[in-house]
Amino acid sequence: MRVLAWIELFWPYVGGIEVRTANFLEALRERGHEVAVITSTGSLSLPEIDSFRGISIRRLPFLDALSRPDLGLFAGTLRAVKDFKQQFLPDVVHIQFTDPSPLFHWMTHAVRPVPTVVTVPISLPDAPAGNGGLAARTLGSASWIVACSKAMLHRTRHQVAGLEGRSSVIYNSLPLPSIEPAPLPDGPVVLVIGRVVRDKGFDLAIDAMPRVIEKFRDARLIIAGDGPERQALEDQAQRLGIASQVQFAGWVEPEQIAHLINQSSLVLMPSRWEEAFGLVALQAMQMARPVVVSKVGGLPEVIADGVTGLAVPNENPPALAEAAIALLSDPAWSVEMGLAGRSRALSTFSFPRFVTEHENLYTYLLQSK
Amino acid sequence: MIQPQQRFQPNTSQVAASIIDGETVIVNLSNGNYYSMDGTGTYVWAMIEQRRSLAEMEQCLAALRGAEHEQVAEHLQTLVSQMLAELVIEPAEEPEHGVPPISLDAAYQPPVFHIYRDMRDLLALDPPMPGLRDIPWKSPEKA
Repeated sequence: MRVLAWIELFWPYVGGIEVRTANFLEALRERGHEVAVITSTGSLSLPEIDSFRGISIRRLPFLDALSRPDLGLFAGTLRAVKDFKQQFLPDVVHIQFTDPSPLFHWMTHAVRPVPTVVTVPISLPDAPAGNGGLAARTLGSASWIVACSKAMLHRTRHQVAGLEGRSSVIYNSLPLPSIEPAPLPDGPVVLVIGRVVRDKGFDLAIDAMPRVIEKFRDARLIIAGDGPERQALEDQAQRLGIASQVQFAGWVEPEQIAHLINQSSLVLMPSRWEEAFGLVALQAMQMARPVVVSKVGGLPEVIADGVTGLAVPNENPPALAEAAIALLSDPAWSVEMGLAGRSRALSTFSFPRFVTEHENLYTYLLQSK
Repeated sequence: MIQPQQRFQPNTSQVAASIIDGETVIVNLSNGNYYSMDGTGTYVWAMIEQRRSLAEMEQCLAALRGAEHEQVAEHLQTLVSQMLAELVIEPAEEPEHGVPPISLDAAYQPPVFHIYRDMRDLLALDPPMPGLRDIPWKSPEKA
């Protein structure tokens, strides 16, 4: 099967969607499929034609063509997409829908009218007032919509009518890290990972820390990631008098995430926005760490509240603190939840299952053409 | 109800448009909305660029294979009304001459005016990691 993956950014850009897609495409290739990627050039200076682990990459200036707007650039980009489709001859096109570049897919659909699978990996904005929109066209015209959680499926079906017969959940996944989970550390270490933006709610984690420190004098919070809110968070920790116990680890390469989680007692995901899934929660579960999440989007569903972690009300630092204290106070319970998380990661969220479910979907769509 | 003798032209003070390999792409420069049409819709756009009247457009489209006059009239009313509402076109006074840009052996397909109002919202979704350095990612972990 020839699979053309359509994704906003791809290697060497990094993020949950990029890493997961690269792993997935590599696994498809190892199972004998041919795969190629159409993606945006982005801000780095990168070749238009490239490859990564046997995956052909065609980079195009989608976002420049759409944001300027420059119809000359638009026309050139559109023709390049047509050429690439005619050259690669995909059997299926699979879009990770996080940006407006799929406009170019729909405008070139006729040159290779094959099934289009659309994964919705993040919460889409509600449809604008009045008729029309790319989100509505993309979801309305897709052969199949894949949601990465039940919460996401419900939200997407609510946004666009008529998706019931052509949408389903395939839970996100990541390959297991090569290292094994380590025992819990001696001192209490709370970890948050992600882009340092307001939506991730890292400020709520800092607000929760004084209560945790009141109970555990040597407790530390590690913030792994970078972003525009970092200075504000450093100031906040200073103001609260806990700067010495809040460590800003900065950017952490994906290969190092598992090592970092191994140094923690628990992982927090205090997100404000509707996390579609929450890959960090899965990474924590893979490393047998309990997870405390806010009750938004797919997070409570991923951790199975009370089984592998605790879900607390959104934007509620006292509740975050209470959950963290409960787990830190009972290491046996933490270990039990961590092991349950590891087991859930190996079954419900296993990577081979993720790849096979997509293969089955592609086959079904090709057979029903 | 738009009158048959009414002529239209692209509203060039607000939009930029181009026909690319048979697909019409229109951008509203004031609000960032995109529009697209293909097939019969592109014929209509080309005739609007020629400032043809609604009646002339109707006559041309009715000559396409499989076209029914009444249906064509109804579809044109809808399409032109949508374009007027979006300020993509405006009334024109004088006709501009030219050969109707119609391939007479083409089949008639009801024209669809795709409207994309959410391009800016989608451009703002899930911004990539800030502060990317040179190739920060060596390889994904092996399964």
